[in-house]
Formats: sequence, C-alpha cells, structure tokens
Amino acid sequence: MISEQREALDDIIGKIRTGRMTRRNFIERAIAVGLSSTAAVSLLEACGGGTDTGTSSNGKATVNLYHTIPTSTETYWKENLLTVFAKKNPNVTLVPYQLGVEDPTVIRSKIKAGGSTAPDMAWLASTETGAYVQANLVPDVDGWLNKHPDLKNNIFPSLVTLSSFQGKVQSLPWMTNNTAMWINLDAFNAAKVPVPSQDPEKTWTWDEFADACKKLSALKGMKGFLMHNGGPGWDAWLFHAWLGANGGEFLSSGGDASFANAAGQETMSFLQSLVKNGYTTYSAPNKGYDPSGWYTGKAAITANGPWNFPDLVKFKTFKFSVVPYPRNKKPATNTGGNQLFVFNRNQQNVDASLAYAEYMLSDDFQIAFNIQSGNLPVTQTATKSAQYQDHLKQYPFLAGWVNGVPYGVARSSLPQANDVQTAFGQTAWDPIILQGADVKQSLAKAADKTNSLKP
Amino acid sequence: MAVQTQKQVKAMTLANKPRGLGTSAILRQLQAFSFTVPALVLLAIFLIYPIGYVIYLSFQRWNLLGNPAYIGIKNYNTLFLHSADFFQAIGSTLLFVVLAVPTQIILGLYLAVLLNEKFAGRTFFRTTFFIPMAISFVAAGIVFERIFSTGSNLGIIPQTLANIGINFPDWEHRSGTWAMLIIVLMNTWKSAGYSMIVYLAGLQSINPDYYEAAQIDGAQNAWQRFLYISLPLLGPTTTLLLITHTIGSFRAFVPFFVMTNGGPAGATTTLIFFVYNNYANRTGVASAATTLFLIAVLAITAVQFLITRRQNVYY
Repeated sequence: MISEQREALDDIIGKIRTGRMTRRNFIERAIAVGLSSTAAVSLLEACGGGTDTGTSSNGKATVNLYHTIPTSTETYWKENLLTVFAKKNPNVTLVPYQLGVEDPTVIRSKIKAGGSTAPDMAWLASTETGAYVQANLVPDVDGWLNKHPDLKNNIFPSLVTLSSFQGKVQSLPWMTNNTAMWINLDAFNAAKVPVPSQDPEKTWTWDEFADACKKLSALKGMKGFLMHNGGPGWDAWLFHAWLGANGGEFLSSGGDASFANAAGQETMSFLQSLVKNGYTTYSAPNKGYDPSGWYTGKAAITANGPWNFPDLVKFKTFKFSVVPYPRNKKPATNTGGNQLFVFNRNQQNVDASLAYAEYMLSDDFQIAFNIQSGNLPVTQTATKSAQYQDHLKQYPFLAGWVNGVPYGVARSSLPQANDVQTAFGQTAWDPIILQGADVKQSLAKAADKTNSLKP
Repeated sequence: MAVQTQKQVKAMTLANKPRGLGTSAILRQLQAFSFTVPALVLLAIFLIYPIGYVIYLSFQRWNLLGNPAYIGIKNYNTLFLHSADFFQAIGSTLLFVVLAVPTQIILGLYLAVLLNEKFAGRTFFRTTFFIPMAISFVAAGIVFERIFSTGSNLGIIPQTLANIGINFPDWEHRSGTWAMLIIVLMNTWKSAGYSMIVYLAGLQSINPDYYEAAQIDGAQNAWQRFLYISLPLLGPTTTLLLITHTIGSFRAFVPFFVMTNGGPAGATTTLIFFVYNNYANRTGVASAATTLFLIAVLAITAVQFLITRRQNVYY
C-alpha cells in the first residue's frame, strides 16, 4: 500500500472510531482507497463500526441486549415495555438482538469479537455465572443491588441465591420458572386415576405416580408419561426436580458429583422402572421440551414449563391441569428462568444497563412481562399484586408452577456447570433411560467424568 | 544427408538448453508470481492463519472468555488419557466414513451408467436425482427424522410397518447402529446426485472408439464393456470423488446435529460434533482434537491419492 493510500486509510479509520463517519461512508471510502469490499467490512468491524465502546459523541449510551425471548412475548416487550423504558431514559438506546437459540457460546464469541455489537447485557440461564465471573466480565452488581435495598429485599430469596456466585450477586433475575406435571384430565377420568393436589406438600407420591402411569398406559393408544429425551441440558435440569424430591443434590458447591450417591441411584432406578414397565413413550431426540406427544394424546403426563402459556390458553382438545412433581422424601421442583447479565464494557454502558435492570425489577414490568409470557415474577410484590392474582384466578392451572417456587432446586453456577450437564446426559441419562444400562455403573461413569471437569 | 557442422550443433544445443537465471528471467518470474499474491494473501488470512491459531490454542487452557493460558501438552493428555468420548467419536466418524463414502460413489456410478443411455425422459430422471443436492442438509435431516421418527409421534415408515406387525428399530433412543444407518441413508439420498453428475461427465468424455474396439476384441456384452473400458477410464473421476467424499464425510456435522444430536448415548457423536460440544468451555481440548483430526485427514488423503494415482488408466 502506498503512502497516500495509507494516509487516507488512517484518516477514515480515525473518523469511524470517533463517530464522525457512518458505516456506509466508511465502506465506500475504504473501497475507493483500494481495499477489497471484504477487507473493508472486516476493518469496519475491527474498528467498532462507528463507536468502539457503545457511546456516541453526544453522551447517549447505546447498549446491546442479546436475548431469546419467544416471538409472541418479544413483540409485546418491544412495543409496550421497551418504549416505556426509552421514555424514562432518553439518554439510553437499548438495541435488542434476538439470538434464536439460547446458546451461551454465541454470547462468548460475541464478547471475544468485541466491536460495536458486543453484548452489554444478555438474557441467559444462571449456569454461565461462574465462567463470566472468572473472566472478570461482570461489574459490581452486588454493590449496586446493596444500594437499592428496596429492590433486593423484594426479590425472592431463593432467586437472590440463584443469582449469586462466590457470595456475591452477579446477575439479576429477569423471570423465573420451573417445570411441573401437565396432566390430561380426560385421560385421568377415563382411567379412574385421582387428580393430584396442586399443593406440593399434599400432592401425589412416587408410588401414586407409578400407579397412575400404569393405569393410563392401559388406555388405548396412550402411555402414562412422556419421557424426555431432550438433550443433555434439559434432561439434567429436569432430573434436578426428581432428585430434589428424593432429598438428593446434583452437584456439591465444590463441583463434586453428588448425583451418583444413594439418592441419585434410587431416583434413576425409579425412572428406569417406568420405562421398563412400558409406562412411557419418548419425545423426539433433543426435543424434550417439545410437548407435542402430550398435545396429540400419546402420553397423559408430561413435565414442562409455563413458557408454553400462550399455547396452553388456546388448547381445547382435552381438559388439562398442571400439578407439582410427585414427592418421595419432600416436595421439589427445578428452579429455572433467565437472568439479566450485565457486562463490564465501560461505566456509561454499565450505568445504562443497570437503569434497565431497575426497570426490569419494577412491579409494572414484572407483572406485564410475566402475564404475557406465562413465566413467573421474580419479586414478591408483583406476585402478590391484585393484577397478578386475578391472572392466576383466571388460569387455575398456573398454580401448579407458582406453588412450586418455594421448593425449587437451582442449577449450579460453577464454570463447568454446562459441561457437567452434558456429561450427565450422555454418560448417565441416555444409557440408563434409553438403553436400560446399569444404574450404579452409569452414574459412577458420569461422576468420574464430572469430577474430571473440575478446574 | 547434410552433415551438420560443429557450429550448427553448438547453435542447436544452445537453443535447446534451459534458460539460466538471468535478470530478465527473474523479473519475469516475479511478475508472474505477483499475479498470485492476492490469492495467496486470502489463503494466508482465511486458511493458514486459522490453522496456525487452532494449533496454538491446542496448547492453551481457554473457554473463549479472558486470555488463553499456556499449559503445554495437557490438552492432548486429556484427550488420550481422560476422554473415552473422544475415542467413541473417532469410532463413530470412521464408521460413518466407511459406510457413507462407498454408498455415495457406487450409487452415483450406477445412476450415471443408467442415465448415460438414451431413452425418453432421461433429462427428467437426471434432474430428479440431482434435486436433493439443492436441498439443505438441515431441511433433509428434519424431513428424514420425521419420516423415520420412533418417538411418541411415529413417522410414516415405522407407523406403516407397525400396522403390519413389524417393529421398526428404535434408532432415536436405543440403537446407535441403526441411528448411523438412517443418517447414512439420508446422506446418500442427498449426495449421490453429485457423484452421478460427475460420473456422467466422465462417461461422456470417453471416446466411443474404445467401445467399438472392445467389441471387436470380444467384449460382447454391456457388463464387459463397463468392466474393461468404462471403469478403468473413470479412474481419475473415481479418485476425485473418493477424495472429496472422504473429506466431506469426515467433516460432516449437520446430519448428526439435526437428526440425533449426537445420540443415542453419544453413538452418533462424530469428531466434529465432539469439537462442537467442547469448543466453548474447553477450547484448548477442542483445538487439540481438531489438530489431530487435520493431521489424520491429510494423511488419509495423501494415501488415497498415492494409491489411486498408481492405478489410474490414461489412454
């Protein structure tokens, strides 16, 4: 490249970095200087494409929020909630990006790539917490929350714990959910199976569950339970509920596999017995979250979450309800939901992101978002509000999930948590549930693999 | 006959002598080379640099966040000593390659031989067998999964067989071998059209005089003409397809991701899938697996090339 070209290129690089040139102008000028179009676009991305840190020259913060909010809720969120936030915070431009599939590796790649589209916030499960904290990507969310005691005290304590790692709050709960048992009431009536209580302390036991599956499987063309084959993360998450109901723990705080002990063996043996006795049918592989086998009447019971609310309210094929997981030693469910992660790009963007977090934790947001999406509010006042209580009265099946919240068992936030779930799914769940492998041996293998993943 | 003088012989020798490295020759070489520089730059950026970076990462501990930390050959130790799933992935990959490559080539050759003959509707059939190439692997995988599904909503094939009392193997949940066979079936359906087109081009480039000569020499039937003329002369075409299909099969990812997600119980988790599963949380381990994979594929390709080059027939 000759010196005149070099000077011209330096000039336009300087202008794009300080926001004095638009992206289109940059590409046109770069090509005119002599770069190929590919090189021009690559250079634009490397320079940040207008703003390297998300700030513009007039002090307005532009923050990028990556999410996988389902389409119907996403439209509502953008049109009704983000507009309110924008009016209250005119110095903040929140740019949402729909990821499509909740894959934390995409977020990691975006963080590493940097540039103007790097994430400032992300809607993700809590399992990524440890990895982000170890990489020093998370600002002092704990300090911010302590300065807002009204907000902190209003969040359900179990969710504050879920949001914490190494003793500090590292992310903020956006919405919570869990899974519970969807039951086909018409099939229950036909098989003369009593409908379990929606009170987790009084709901069915494991023996009653197995008996129900047996009777329901005697109905023509139906099996008792839709056994999930959802891919390692889903299967491991649902297993947390079964294991919790048997008094067990999945992973210790130090990262040791606790699922291979007596409680874990008993739990997997129970689930395997349902399969061996012919009381179950399977979901499609990697689609354990897909309740179509239940919708089409192939199984009378399935475990799934409240995010399906928009579909459930329109479902008229048969009568249904939602009840808690059967208990063995105690009631339990698996706490899930999505957190708002804030990333430490620069102070202005962190402040803007926390402004959004404050709005997100408000009653107005929590009630509106969760009524629309079917998920559950993370704050106590929103849950107890007249509007939300009216919503629960209108849809009584929601109590199956809401009542389970205090008994929720959370997933680990350790950096290797996702890998542990994969190891459990491939080495224990699939062989035991799908192929009838020996429970103790398979769990032991999965435990060895899990322990080898400790950093 | 004119006797050449010593002077004439010297002049002829000088005319035929290879040109030395004079200044003008060097400048001509540089000029020619400069035309390849843009391509070499692109090659360096998009091929050599990424390969080098992956090899570098194979000696680091990293999870895409923060900075990589050098740990020597620990990632390779992890693979060889602590990763049973790595060896399972190698086995699955080799099984897929051994099954998929011959079926695509043999079916492609069979279709090409059939469709090389003139008959009514030949163009229609050529188009029909080529259309699967235009469909994405994602779409094809989803459709095949639905057709052969053994989940709560049975696919049309298992349902039809169940109606006549035949149990279709539960490839989605129980049988890893059948899962691999179904994936190979989809892959062959999708890819045989490419082999067919390449073989058709090869067949049509064979001089018809060879077939006439073969007939005169005693090759009376079509099978003999195919065996002794077409097949040997298609040697270079077969070499090309063997190498490209082998590399493609080693690199296959989408069919496994879409149809089985690597299951049941990791039975269809190939090496690329193993890398995908590990690249975010254990980037170094994934990079080590990729490096070993690169060396293996290069070695296999070199062996294939050497073997088939000796056997190819050129007239």
